[in-house]
Amino acid sequence: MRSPAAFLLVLLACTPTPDESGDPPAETGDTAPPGLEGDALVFLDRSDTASFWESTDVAAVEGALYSCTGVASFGVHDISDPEDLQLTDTLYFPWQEGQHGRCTHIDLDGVRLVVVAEQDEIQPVPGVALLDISVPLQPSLLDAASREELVGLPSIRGDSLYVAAGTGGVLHFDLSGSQLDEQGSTGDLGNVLAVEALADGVAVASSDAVLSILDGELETVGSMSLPAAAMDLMDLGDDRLAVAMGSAGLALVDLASRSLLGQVATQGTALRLDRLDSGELLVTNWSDLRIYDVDGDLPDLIAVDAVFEAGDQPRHFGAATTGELVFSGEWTGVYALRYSDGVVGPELTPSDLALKVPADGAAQQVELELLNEGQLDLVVESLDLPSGWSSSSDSVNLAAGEATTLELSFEGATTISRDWLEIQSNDADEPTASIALQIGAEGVFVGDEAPGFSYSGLNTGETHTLSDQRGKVVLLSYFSLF
Amino acid sequence: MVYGLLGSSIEGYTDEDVLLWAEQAGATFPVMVDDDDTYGDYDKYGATAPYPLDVIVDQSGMVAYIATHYDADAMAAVIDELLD
Repeated sequence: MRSPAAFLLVLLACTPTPDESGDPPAETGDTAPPGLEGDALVFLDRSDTASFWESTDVAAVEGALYSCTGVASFGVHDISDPEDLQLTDTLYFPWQEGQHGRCTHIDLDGVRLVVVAEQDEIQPVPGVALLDISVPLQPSLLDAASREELVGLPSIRGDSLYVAAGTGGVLHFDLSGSQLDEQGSTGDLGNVLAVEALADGVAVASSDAVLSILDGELETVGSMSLPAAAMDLMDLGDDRLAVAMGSAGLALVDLASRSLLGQVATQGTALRLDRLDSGELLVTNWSDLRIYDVDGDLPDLIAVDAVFEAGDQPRHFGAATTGELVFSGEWTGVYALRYSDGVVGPELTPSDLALKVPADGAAQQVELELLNEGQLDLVVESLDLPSGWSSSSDSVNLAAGEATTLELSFEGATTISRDWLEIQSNDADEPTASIALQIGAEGVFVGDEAPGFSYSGLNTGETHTLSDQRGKVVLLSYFSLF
Repeated sequence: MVYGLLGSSIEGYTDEDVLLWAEQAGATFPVMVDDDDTYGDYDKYGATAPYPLDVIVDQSGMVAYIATHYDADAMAAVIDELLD
């Protein structure tokens, strides 16, 4: 099932717009994570979402978590015991009999919840819904409206709701009557991807990497260029705004002077922002979750963590916080983690997530390095190897920062197959690490011959054949427009 | 040489959409649609791998680097070493 990836906006090959404002250059961060990680994010539990579709966005209040779950609209989860998450309800959109959009975004202000449904090929009707969540586990519908235009990220503040509407600008609704009372929309602001309601207006980011500041009447009062197009915005107060910019990382900007304060790479794709009660910024980074101290001009990385399902890769779509709890929306579930700054623990980091041996019948040996990147002793309790495999060691104890290399032996096979090495340890947020053991040539690995192609270049009108590039170094960048 | 390849399994966009995107993004490299799904050949974990996927092919046609995390520094290091 590859299609959900299509809805992630990845502009990998996009060249960031240079800052031509003439302002002094903003501070640029050291991109390296801490050498030894703490264990500030500890896994608590997982809950299924309402359908097999991914959880594209999540939002939380005390006692309840809401997850967008694609075509099945959204799920309501009881989080009163975060170590025992329960999916308690599934809600559908009411605006047209038999049809509803694809739930993609949620925002809330504690008593009201806004759900935005994008259009897709299965569910053709986009729309916006407003729900009362004064009883958190029993949301009740206040109002809903289908839309003609594309709708995207919402932002709610006070009685104002703003919704990013692509080339339609920004939609503004007044919620004081407990309904979606449309106030109007902006003029042309480019292709609007993200909005953030401010105390006295709204910040608007477009795909051409421009940030516009609008007052409460939707009149533009200023603008600045960003290093790259924004995926999400978060008001930090004191005229400071955090900007998630996909593969271009995370930036802080000063709204008063409309200048870039600092920018750091996030070694992933910074998609969504949320704020912990304690003030730190939570970044959904596709391949992991990151927590930054944003008190200074430069975001300072405190914690980085990924949630793994056995045999799977981490992929984080959206995250939310309430109190010290962090919730991450993934392919088929939502995950609860507890954030406690300063907590330290062991952190198992294998050198490879997949090992490959040839299927030529001969006995094989491969090496796997295990590193303890944490700050406490790591105890590997068991190494579960599939039949035919053996390890030079079956118990490992590693002090903080220590590494060891396992020699893995395989008796040999002539058929292609894949199995898993499962490593059980006292790493609290990844108690089972799974390493793929690939026998035979299924898939291309480093050191293999690159699969050839001969395609016509849409923007060149020429045919490009990989084998014609022999003698040159070739970078292949696979991406999606969505 | 840099090639940009779009996943062929993604429905719903046309060549015109891709061209428009390439212009807006200022792509100076050939942008192609991966109709033969060479992307799938790199799907080494067997699970659905995300975009982006970056691959560096050396002068002899062998794969020198595969990553699903965009990491410009790591790619520059690999390319520098190959060109050294």
